[in-house]
Amino acid sequence: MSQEEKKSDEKGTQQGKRYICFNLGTEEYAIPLLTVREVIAVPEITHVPFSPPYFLGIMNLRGQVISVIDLRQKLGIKPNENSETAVIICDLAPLSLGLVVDSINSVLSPKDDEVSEKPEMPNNKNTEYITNVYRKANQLILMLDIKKTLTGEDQAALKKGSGSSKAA
Amino acid sequence: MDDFETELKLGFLDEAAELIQDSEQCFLQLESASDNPEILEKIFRLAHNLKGSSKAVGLNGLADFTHLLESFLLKVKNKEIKINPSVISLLLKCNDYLGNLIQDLKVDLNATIDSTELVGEIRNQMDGVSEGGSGDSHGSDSHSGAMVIDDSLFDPTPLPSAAIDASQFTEDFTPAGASAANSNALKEAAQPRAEAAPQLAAAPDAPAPVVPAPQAAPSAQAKVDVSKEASGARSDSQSSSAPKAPVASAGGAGGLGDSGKGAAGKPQTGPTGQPVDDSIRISLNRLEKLMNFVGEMVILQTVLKEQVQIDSSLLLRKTVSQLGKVTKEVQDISMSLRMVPLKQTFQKMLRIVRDTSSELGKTVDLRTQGEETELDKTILDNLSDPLVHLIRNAVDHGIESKKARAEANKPEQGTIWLRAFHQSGNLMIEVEDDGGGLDPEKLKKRAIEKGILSQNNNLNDRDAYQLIFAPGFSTKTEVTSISGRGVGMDVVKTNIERMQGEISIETEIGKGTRFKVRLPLTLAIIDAMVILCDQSRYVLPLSHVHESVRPQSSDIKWVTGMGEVFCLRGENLPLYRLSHLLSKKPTLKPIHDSIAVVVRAGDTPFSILVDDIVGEYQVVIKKLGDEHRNLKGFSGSAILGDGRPSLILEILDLIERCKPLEKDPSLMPMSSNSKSNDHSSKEGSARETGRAA
Repeated sequence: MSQEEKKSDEKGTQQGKRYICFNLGTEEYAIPLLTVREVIAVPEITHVPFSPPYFLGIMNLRGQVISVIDLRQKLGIKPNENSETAVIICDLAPLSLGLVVDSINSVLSPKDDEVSEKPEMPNNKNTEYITNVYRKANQLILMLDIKKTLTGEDQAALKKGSGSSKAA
Repeated sequence: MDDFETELKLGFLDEAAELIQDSEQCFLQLESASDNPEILEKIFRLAHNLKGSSKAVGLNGLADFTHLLESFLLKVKNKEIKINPSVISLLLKCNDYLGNLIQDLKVDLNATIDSTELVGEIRNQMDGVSEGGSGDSHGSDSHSGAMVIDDSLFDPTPLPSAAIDASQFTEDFTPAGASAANSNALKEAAQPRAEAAPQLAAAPDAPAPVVPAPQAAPSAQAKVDVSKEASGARSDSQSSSAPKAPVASAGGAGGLGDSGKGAAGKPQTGPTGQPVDDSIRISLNRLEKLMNFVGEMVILQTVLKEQVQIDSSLLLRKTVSQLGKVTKEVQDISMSLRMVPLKQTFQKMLRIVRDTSSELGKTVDLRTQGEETELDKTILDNLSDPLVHLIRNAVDHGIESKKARAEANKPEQGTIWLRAFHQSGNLMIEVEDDGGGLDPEKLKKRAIEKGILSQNNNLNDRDAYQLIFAPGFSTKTEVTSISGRGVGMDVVKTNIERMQGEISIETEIGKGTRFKVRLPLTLAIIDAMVILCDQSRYVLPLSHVHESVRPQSSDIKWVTGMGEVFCLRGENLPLYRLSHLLSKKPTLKPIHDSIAVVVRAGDTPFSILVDDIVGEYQVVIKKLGDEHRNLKGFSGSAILGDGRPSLILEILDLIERCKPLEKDPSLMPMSSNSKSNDHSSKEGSARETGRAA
């Protein structure tokens, strides 16, 4: 909670977009701070049958039932074994979503010259949800559009998931 | 149009819809207490508000009409037009018109509805002031109380009586201008009349000027006297319907956020007396959020209380125990926020009874009780339709015709009681009439004719009453606008059952019928059985569960092509393993350690094999997010006592999902050779028996 408050304090003083950085496996990613409601430790999660493997289930966030997905599995990243995992609660227009990540690193307010276009990689549709790349010294952080990771693709996957188990 | 303006208009429309509702109640009250100046005062104020606000937000069509209505009401208020059933009918019609217009405007801000006819009628009534007063008021003066009501009942279209109209009309076109100048009140009438003339000519319903103007206008003063007298006489003789008013006002006192609506019935200090308890509108969404937090607070508080027991200072312990009390209070209040009183719904019924009975030429008095009873908003919204059906049904089928009543030595006026009260955590609503009652033999005969029932049935009376809920069943031979299609009662039952409610009938031939509706107080909380399957807990609505048994392995038989069958006391129930339904690994637990839950939710009973039963709880239903909308088989989630969420099973959907395994659904009903066998051909009663069994 206090962490969250601190963030919102900073937000007022600085201009430009700010990002929260986290680890997925050994890679670093970032999402816009404004979409983040809070960060919590991994709670008890109730599994939901018929859902794809990266969909961990539902959790109780102060009386609200929220879906939790494992962002590492979702993006196909091998989880870091000895990391403290955390859940980022995102507010995405109609729904709130919990993202399980390996560890939260920092809040980033990149300067314009530190952000560049994502590298073009044909044959890789996975890059759709990467908006930009942040680079400073030997750090490389991929900036995610969380909605793109989730909405279209996820719902399609969920549909597929329910469809396939129906066929099974 | 910019957003601000649109928002303003929409806001106004919301408010207007409420005003319209209020004024309808007032009109109805006016009918039984026409000499009550407070009601008139309130009506006038409402109309004035409506006019003012509609003009302010720029809805000119609405403003024009309400302006006319206002001037009409002003005349009524000043006793230039005396109140009689036809005036009230007209006012109610105006109200309906406004209600429809507002509905339409909500969808499209430029919507209009043709009001020519109504405008014509209003102007007719208003112009009637010039001379109609004498003839009209003399007429009702001589009426007995009952006759006054009859007037409106027998009037096929609630138009003002034609002869008077016509004379008023012609009067209006010829010397009216001159006579109008004579009296103060008429001056005012003259103004709108001038604009009305062309419209009147175009109005299809405007009475043709056949009758020549017979009388000169009496002075305004005389008229006031006459109407005062007339209304006084009427309210005396109408004492039979008068008890309505006190009941209505009593309801107002208890109403949460509704006290303003009840104000008309309450004594008010001044003409502008404000209701004491102010109310605001809150979106249900926000309430839901509040409830979430409160729920969480309760869980946290429990944890805190446990921790405090271990070791802590006295002060801390005291504080925590106080916190506990406050938490409880907050929880109670927040739960009650969703609760609204039945008052408005009940008052709507007054109107329904009035309209339906006059259409049928019956005299019916509706007595309501327990308007202040509160229930969940969602249930209230769903309750309205079934209640309308029940009331109409009581007026139409319950109360006999006047002739039949006279023969049965009953008072000519039928009575319908509408009661609401709380009983053991449920809301009970009763609709009782003193009509003819249900005749089980007739019902059976009719059902056989309709092909709903087979010839050689051995239905007892209780089951026979249930026939009226069967789809397509109607005791009426011809279809009227009110009944006869045999849809109503079927819908009533389905709607009530959808809300986890029940409806039952008590009836006695010649004495009357009583419908008892039992509803849960809220849909947000259900009684549930928490079951265990593969280490996970799931919630099963208790209303689905009929019984649970520990089966013997020998009770369960495998039938190729049908799956497993569970033999329970001679009944063969299809058995589904929950682990299979949820596509989990089959449990290794031996069958005699598992529990079979018998579900009788749909048309065919079946059983589900679960690992264990955790217990029975009341759980708060939480909707699952959008991301689950493709997920069939779960109706929502619930947070259990330890704070972990759990899924609420929609068993029928789960079985549906697994259909590919039981390819042939026709095999399923065959497996039940149960006691419901004798009616299994008729859908309606089969379902009923399954429930009652």
